[in-house]
Amino acid sequence: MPLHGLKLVVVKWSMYLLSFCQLLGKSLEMAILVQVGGKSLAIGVLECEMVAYLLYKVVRGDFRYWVPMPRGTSLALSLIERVAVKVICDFTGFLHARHPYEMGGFYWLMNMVWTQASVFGAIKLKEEFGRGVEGEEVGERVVKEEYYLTIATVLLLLWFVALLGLMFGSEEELRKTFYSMMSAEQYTKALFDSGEDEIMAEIFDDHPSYYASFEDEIKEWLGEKWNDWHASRPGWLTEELIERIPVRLLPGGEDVNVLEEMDEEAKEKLTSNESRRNSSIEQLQRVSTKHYFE
Amino acid sequence: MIGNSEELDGVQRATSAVLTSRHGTYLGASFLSELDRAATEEGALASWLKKHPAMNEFSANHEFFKPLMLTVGKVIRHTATWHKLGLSIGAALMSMIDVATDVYTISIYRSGGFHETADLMTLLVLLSLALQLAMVAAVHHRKKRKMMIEMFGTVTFTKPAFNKFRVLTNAKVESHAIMPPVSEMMMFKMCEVFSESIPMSVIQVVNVLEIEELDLLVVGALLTSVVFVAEAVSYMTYMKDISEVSR
Repeated sequence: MPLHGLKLVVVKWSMYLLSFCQLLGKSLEMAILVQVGGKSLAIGVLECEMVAYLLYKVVRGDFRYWVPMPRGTSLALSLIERVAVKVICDFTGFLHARHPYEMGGFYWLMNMVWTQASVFGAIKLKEEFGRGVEGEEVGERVVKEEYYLTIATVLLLLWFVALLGLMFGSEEELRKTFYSMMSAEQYTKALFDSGEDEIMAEIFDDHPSYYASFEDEIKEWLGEKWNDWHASRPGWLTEELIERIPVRLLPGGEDVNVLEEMDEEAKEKLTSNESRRNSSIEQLQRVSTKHYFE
Repeated sequence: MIGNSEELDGVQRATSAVLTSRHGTYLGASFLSELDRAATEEGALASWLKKHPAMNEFSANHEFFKPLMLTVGKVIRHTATWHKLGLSIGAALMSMIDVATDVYTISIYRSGGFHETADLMTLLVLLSLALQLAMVAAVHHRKKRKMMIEMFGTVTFTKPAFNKFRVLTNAKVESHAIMPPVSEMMMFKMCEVFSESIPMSVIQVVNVLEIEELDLLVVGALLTSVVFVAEAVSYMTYMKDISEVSR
């Protein structure tokens, strides 16, 4: 998103236009499918598209959502979130869905292209099979069937103009986000590889499975920096961030002696779902820092 | 804003050495105006420096200047004002009006004998509320009292005001919350768009394609709701995209 000037105006209006065309286009497709095969056909098409999307996410190992939820709820939330974002994106072209944490740029773009193509597919179906629901009398409608193609074509052209507006109005270095294949885990790794401590620390906002594959590197990084951070206490190293860092990744966090020094209550909390609560983490940090420095 | 005298008109060509105190007032007003138009303080400063070469020259010669202006701009942009409070209350009112019109529409369908459509619409409104409550519980589950307050705001349709005010004033992420206010606002709105706005739009399009007499009110209602959904979705993306956390 450009921050000022004409490009900001172009991108904002392109976003409105894209959502407008996408919503009318997809709704038109659904309405035509209802005319052809009733509600079951429309819902069936949506279900097939949803299954294809969820399979794509599962096959890429990208199904779990980034929000760190308690054990047992993460996958349920992921399913709800993935379904909701897919539906919203189908019907509105929701731009944020191109983020690797959501749909990803490539699928987002292909999803919109598919939606626009599907409108014409539904019109073709209508021409081929007409009204599939038997026994209904159809009178003279205000929106005649021969208008459907014109409406779909106008929406497609406007959608294309909006897409061009977005592509060419957006910041050049971020254009690749419109077609990027990057997965959520790859994005998290890219944050970690940035080399800037503040950005690297953002990985702790994510679900731990996102950084499970490079935990050794994280331990090494925290081991190198923990001492300095405690001395200089940079502004971004907030209490909230410290709470989010899994104890096992902190210097001395897996040390048996360190754990033994903690009282029973803190240990109990550490091994329970409340493990990252203030009291235990502060205790552990005090002890681990002491061990690390000694 | 002071008058457009020739002296002030020349400010865009002047060098920093010849600027007077009146130029300072003019430049200050110009910066405020840029803050209103640009997406962020960075955008406002870039646009302002481009417009006033004297300031650009000054900024290039004094490295303290840019951070100074960015800090001033950030404070101005995120200060709690009556205008922001009004916008936030407006968001809650819109939410209440939205539900009121949904209830009214449902009652019209029911009284007209369209029980299936009325039941479906009722289900969608309830689903939207249920999803929003579940989302609030997920975000605030670490602090039960806060979770209950936020849930109360959800069922009274006042939560959109709190969400918007937190985003406009750049409120910090609370220690118990699992996501920043901008993400919370976005997900809260997504629940509504997913379970209520989109299905309602589809129902309206199906109805418009079926009508046998032109009813401008029906067509107007459809276009209005499509514009509202497009605006809501674009606003979500815009706020998320320009937020400090995301950038």
